[in-house]
Amino acid sequence: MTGATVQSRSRVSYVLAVAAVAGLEAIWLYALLHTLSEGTRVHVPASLLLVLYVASFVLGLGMKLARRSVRTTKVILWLVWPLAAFLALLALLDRSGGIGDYFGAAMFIIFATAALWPLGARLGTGRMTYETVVTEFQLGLAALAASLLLGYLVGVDQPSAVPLAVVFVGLGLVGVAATRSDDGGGPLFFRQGGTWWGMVLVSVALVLMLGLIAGVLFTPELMQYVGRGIRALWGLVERLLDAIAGLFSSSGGSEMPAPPVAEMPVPQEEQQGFSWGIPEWLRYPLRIAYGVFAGGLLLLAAWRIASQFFDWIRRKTGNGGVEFESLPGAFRVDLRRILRRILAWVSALSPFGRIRRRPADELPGTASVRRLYADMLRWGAESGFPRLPCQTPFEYQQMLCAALPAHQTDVASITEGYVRAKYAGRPPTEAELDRLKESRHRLKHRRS
Amino acid sequence: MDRLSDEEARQVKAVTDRVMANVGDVMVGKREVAELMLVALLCEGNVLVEDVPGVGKTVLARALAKSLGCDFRRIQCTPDLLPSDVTGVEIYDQVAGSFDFRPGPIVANIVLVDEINRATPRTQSALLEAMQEQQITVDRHTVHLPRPFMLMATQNPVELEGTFPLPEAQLDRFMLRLEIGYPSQGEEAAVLTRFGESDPFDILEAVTGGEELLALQKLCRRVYVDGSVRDYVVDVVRATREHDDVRLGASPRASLGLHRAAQALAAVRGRSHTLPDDVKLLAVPALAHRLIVKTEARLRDRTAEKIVADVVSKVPAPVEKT
Repeated sequence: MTGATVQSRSRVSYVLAVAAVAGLEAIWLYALLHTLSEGTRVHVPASLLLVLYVASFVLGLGMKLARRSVRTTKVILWLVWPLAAFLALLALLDRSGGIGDYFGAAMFIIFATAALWPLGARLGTGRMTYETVVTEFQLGLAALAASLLLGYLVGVDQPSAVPLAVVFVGLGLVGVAATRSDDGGGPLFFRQGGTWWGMVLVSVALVLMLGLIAGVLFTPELMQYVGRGIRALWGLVERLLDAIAGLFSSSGGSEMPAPPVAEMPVPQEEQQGFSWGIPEWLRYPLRIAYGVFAGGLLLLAAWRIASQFFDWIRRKTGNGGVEFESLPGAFRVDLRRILRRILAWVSALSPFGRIRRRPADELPGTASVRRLYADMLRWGAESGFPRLPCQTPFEYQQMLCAALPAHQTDVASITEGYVRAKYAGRPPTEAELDRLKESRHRLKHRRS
Repeated sequence: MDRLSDEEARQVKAVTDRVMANVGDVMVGKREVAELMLVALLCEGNVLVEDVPGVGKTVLARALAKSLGCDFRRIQCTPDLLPSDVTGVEIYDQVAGSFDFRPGPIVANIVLVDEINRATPRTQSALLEAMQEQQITVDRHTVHLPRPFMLMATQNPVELEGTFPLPEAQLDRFMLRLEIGYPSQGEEAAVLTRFGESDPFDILEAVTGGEELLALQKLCRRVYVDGSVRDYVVDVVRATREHDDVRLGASPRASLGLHRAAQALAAVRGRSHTLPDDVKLLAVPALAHRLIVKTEARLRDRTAEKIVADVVSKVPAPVEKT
């Protein structure tokens, strides 16, 4: 593509982007001014007020083309503003009303010009980028929605609400397409060098296509099916809850005679749902198992949340600055760890378990040191200083000793023992292992 | 092969401490750089020292060579240096009526190739065979270089006019690339005092010899490397190949170099086993010069050193999981 083409395309994109942003601003300003004007009963025509917006835009653009500095442009714009406001007052004030209406309308015009003037000037002097258009679209959408809602609440008639909204979205699409094509990129299928009109066409086509697909797919029949599916799922959940509740309900109570079930008209669904056909002899063990499971889960959750809470307090009040396990993932991680331990115990009981647990070349004693070190890592994490994955044992030792100097000796001895066993292949002797266990014991039972 | 005993590791440390103390008589500070140079020597590698002029690249290389008591030669590279100036030539002996081989300066134990990037690619490539296979071929002669052999090259990364950047193949043959850096204020003052009175090179004496060095090289190969540390080396090297900012990662030769350098560093520090800490310490000097960084990453000021540091900070160390 030649330089001239790029330049001309850039100019077209700029003009389109400015027009789009101007249109977006004009629409939401018109809606807002109209609502306020009618809501406050000053009845100033909003469309005529927008002339001031155009005037300040032209003035700002002129200053930009004349290559005036930003400071000079601002000074001149604010010097001209009183004149513009005065002219607006002359042109728009209806002198036939009472003094109250007159004053109210004047104040409305002055405030409106004060708002419109800098917006128009900014449009003339500012740069038009993709971010500008998107920001204007987002802000404008919020302002437009707020204006229409406010108008609805105060009872202002908004006959042009729908066309305004459609034009607003259309201008947003054009602005986005123009700025994106100027950047050389595109939002959808135009990876490189998309043209603005192509993007607009694609965007509009996509919106229409999605609407069409939604219209075809979401038929009343489909919605009914979906509704039935949701009801069926909920029915299953209800049955499960009933089954759990049935475990704890008294069966065949001795105090009261059973109601004449056979004579009562019981709905078909209820008959099927009750306890899912759990036989009477299985209900008692299931009840105990469920009780243990639910109780354990609750205790675990309570313990975990409490420990996290206390750790958080400790971290806030004590040695901070270290990354800490976050609360959202903590429970899941703990649960996984507990399950893994249970599996490890089970596998240890099996004839093949011990072989799997210890690698063939691992010397006796090494496994003990590794467990001791893993205990120390857990203790460190619970104290608020978890080991980072990239940290070596000596780096972690340095960090722990700096943070918890009271445990320096024990941390150092366990680390030394672990490093010797793990990286030098030299497991500790019985006496050394006993000393390491004492160190681990001291760590666990002495708080810093 | 038997693994190194603690006693043997202490022997290695005693010798290397002696050498480093001797180098320290000339070179103020920079003990870590001297240590890494010894590491390269002990695992039969070559070193590229890259830094701005005047920080002591040549002084360090000379001091180390003199402390080792080996045959030392220096090649000052210039654009008109010929390969035969490095390797040697065959000269016709009129009396004997035959050609005699006159070895060049490369045939020595320690060779200092000063400002290597000033030599032409043709001359640089003459060094390739010497660096990798520790032999040179001139006409029909293949000459095995004396052992121990180490090539220490220096280059200035700032002044690039009239220089020829080293090709990747040659960079890969350097085990370590080291930077010396400016001395601290105290060190610089000590340099003025030390070099103001007399030339410390005059009183510098060898503290070890070629035979002892060869024995140390053999000992370093016996340093124990646990499987997890070996895997860690591989993980780090492989991670450089998968890094987003890297066009060409470190080679298997780099894995080998890092592994052997970690063994030597452990021995120099008096240990009979390597640690992940050794690998981490050596990762930047052993890997950074072998990476080819993508252009867009270079424009974002992502240097190879930063990338290796990033890799090391992301690869999990071989430690127990909680």
